[in-house]
Amino acid sequence: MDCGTCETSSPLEMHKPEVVDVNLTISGNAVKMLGDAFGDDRSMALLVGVLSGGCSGYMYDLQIVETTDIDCQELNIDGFRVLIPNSSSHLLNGIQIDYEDRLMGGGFKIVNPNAQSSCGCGESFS
Amino acid sequence: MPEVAFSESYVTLWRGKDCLAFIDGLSSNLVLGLSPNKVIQSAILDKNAKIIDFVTIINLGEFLAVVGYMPNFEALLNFVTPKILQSDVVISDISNLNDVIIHYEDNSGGEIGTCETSDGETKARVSEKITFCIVSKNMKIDCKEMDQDFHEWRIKNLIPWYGYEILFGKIPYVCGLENYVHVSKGCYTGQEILTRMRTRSRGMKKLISISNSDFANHKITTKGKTNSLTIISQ
Repeated sequence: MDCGTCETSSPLEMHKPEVVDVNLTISGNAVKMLGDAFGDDRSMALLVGVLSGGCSGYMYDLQIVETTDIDCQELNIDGFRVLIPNSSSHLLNGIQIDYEDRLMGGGFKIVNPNAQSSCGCGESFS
Repeated sequence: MPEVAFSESYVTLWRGKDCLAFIDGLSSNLVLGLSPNKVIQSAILDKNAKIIDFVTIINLGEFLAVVGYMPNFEALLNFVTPKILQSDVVISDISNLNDVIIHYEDNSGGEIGTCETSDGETKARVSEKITFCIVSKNMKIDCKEMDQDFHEWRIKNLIPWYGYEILFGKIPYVCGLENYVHVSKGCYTGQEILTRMRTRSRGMKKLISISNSDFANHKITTKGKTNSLTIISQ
């Protein structure tokens, strides 16, 4: 196989989505749960990302981090640091982070006005 | 062993630490964990479980080589590239540097699902009787185009192929690709649809070979001299 001198073979031009300034809201239930998770330590941040995959093509990725190498925009919402990767900003603008307290299928949920559809478990969207 | 050129193929290089997870999340077979010098085939699906492309993924250590069907290439790129987001995935097209040759009726005894590279040739044994060979165009291998002998062999061995059974927009379970759907790998694009079809036995089809004298009742996908391939409901 000729790999075009593998390390330097020209990458394909990729469509890079526009970076948008994200607005998001966090529901009262989610604020309470984040408060429980963070405690008094507000040096940590909630990273809200999007990965490929899941039943519908994209899936949410929530992490509590101190720092990240990902190029992010940082928001301060209700006293919490929230990090949004710029590469996913077009998919996350306008979302609401909610928390559902249920025995089955509970946990953090994201209500996303950009999503055309989502899968049964709510973690994946398109 | 006989060989034919797979002229309607593309060859891409995928680099970056997230490549396997990225493809795994968008395709039907278990790609995650594919070790170096291993090969696997998987269908990349949209959210409705319709085939964007059926690809051969070869782990060459530093990068993946992904071989697919050129008529689907643009759709594949349009589908996957917006999903790269912050993932470490870089794709290069090296189709113009390489030819793909199919060795069939391969009884060499090599281990299925492995690959080896030597003298500018990468051989990936994808199944019991098929090996994909990626060869530098500089080697100027003289190989005949896909011909009726190859299709007769496919009919005899129930092998679905691009443009005949494996069609863009079809669901793997109606293309004879059921062996490339991993039933327990977890979430991937289109998985809900496939799981519902399988667990409820709805819409499942299978690839069979029938005598040409039975033509009248079946839609033929590959026509042979005495037998042909068709897809029927299970």
